[in-house]
Amino acid sequence: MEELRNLLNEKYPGIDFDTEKELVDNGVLDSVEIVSLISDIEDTFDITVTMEYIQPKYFQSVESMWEMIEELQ
Amino acid sequence: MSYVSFEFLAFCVAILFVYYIFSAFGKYGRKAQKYVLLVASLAFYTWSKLYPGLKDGFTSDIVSGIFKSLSGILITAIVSFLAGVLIGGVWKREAKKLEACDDKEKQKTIKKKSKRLARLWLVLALLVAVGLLAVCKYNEFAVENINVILDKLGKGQLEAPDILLPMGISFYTFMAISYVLDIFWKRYDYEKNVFAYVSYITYFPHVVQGPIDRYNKFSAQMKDGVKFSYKNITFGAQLALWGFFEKLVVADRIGIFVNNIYGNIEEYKGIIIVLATVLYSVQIYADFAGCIDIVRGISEMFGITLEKNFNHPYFAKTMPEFWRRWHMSLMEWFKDYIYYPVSTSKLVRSVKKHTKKNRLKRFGELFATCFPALIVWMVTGIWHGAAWNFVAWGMFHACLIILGNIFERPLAALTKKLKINVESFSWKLWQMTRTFVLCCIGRVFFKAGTVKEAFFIFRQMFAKVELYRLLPAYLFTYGLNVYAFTVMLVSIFILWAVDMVEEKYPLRETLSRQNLVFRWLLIYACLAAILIFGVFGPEFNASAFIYEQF
Repeated sequence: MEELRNLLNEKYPGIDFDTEKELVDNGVLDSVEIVSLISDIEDTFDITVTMEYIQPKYFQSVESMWEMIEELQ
Repeated sequence: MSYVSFEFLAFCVAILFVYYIFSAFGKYGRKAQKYVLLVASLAFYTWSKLYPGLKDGFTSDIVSGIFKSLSGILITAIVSFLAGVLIGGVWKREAKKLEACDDKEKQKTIKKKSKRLARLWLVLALLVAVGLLAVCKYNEFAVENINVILDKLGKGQLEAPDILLPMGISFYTFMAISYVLDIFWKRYDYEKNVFAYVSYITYFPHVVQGPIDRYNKFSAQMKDGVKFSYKNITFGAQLALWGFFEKLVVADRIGIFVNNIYGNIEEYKGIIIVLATVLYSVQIYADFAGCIDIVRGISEMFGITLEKNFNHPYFAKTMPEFWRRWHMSLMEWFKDYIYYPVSTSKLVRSVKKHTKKNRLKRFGELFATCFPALIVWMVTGIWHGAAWNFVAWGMFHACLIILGNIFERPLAALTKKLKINVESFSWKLWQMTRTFVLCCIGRVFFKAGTVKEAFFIFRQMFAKVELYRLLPAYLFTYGLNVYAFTVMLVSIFILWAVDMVEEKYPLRETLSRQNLVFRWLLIYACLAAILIFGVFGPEFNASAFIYEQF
């Protein structure tokens, strides 16, 4: 999960990923950013994020993103 | 049956009464409430054919009229329901087979075969749903354009078939598509009860103009039925009352002025067209938000919360923000079912990969952002109407979104260099005004019948200034006299003030905590405003909603 946390901190230095648990619902991440993030996650973890996983619940927090990555690995 | 009619109000009261009588019969009574809603929705949908039958007895003409009205919506509902059952069945069998198999290669084959079969059912369902929408809504548009080509080739003309446009087809088709795709993407389990599913598609508060609800959220509220709740009734009635105010007092009065100018556009130039365009932007908001508040209010009385469709869009500071606040359920739909699939498609992925290798990363990123936006906006335009002016309107917004993306970084750098305080009120006001003006420009394409007409309106707008038309001697001759014009301005101010308060505070909850006398005074004031200042046509009926045509 540390690798993901580093990726997010580097990409979005202004966001506190330790405390923010509703990134999508609170409008912190919009659709354009989610698409860009998917691309980075795919490159970093060598996975393909399929449509089943492109829904708000998998992008709300670092933990939920990590859960998605683990399922896809 | 119009949402703004006495017969609709009487219909709602009658259905509410029956609905909550069922809730008195405990668990089984509440489970049966969905059937009450199904029957009510079918009656609502076929009212214009059903009503003469109820009065004078059913004849074969009336029965066939009811059948014709219902056929389109029922075909879409049943086909999407069956697709859900078939796709859901494929996933269930897949899960069982995977559980019984340890070999990774065999598991891959099972997954591949299942996906292929599920995709087949998905494609068939989409072909039927989208095909019906295309045939019913776009046949005239297609024939019209084919005829233009045939004319240039010197060939004979085609005749468009006379096909009945089912009420709310754009809305219920999108709901059916969302359900089938969600099942295909394993987002939730499929529905096994056909009546429960058909009651979702045909649900009378959302079938005409949305909001475009999602099945999982809707069914979760309907599953065990709804107990009578005083809060649901009062909150729902208050929201619907506010919706009637928005529609009858604000939108329809502005409509008189706007139609007067736009209906005789060749007679006017300059400032008065600008004023009519600005007012049209307010009118379309009050009209559509009014309708949504009415149906959300009515639905709340039935204990079902529908998707939110508006979040004070004219307070948006950028165009993307505007589209997150305007017609939210439609934009969410486009995001989930077009933007994300296109953004993660093989084409976009390969362009990104290729440009990354060739050190053109920025271009790849821009393509990945702009191409899906272009597709989304083209579909958004054509969804709103089968005419080129709607396509032009969609392309106009696509350009704004794409340019916004391209210039986002340079503009941020420029504002920093110029030391502009982006948190100041004046900067935010400038951003809101800029967004509103851009919206108004787009509205000209929306209001005009054709692209040619839209450009003619722009020409008229900038041909002369004609400031004198704002003088009282002229201003009060465009359909609204001094009294009606004042009522219009005051009603717009009330709409703005309510939106402003709601932007910062939960208005409904705050009002519910006030004392009884104050609350009733407000309700009576709103009711009196509707009855005294509302714009009613013949037989006390209001004009049609603008979004009803979509």
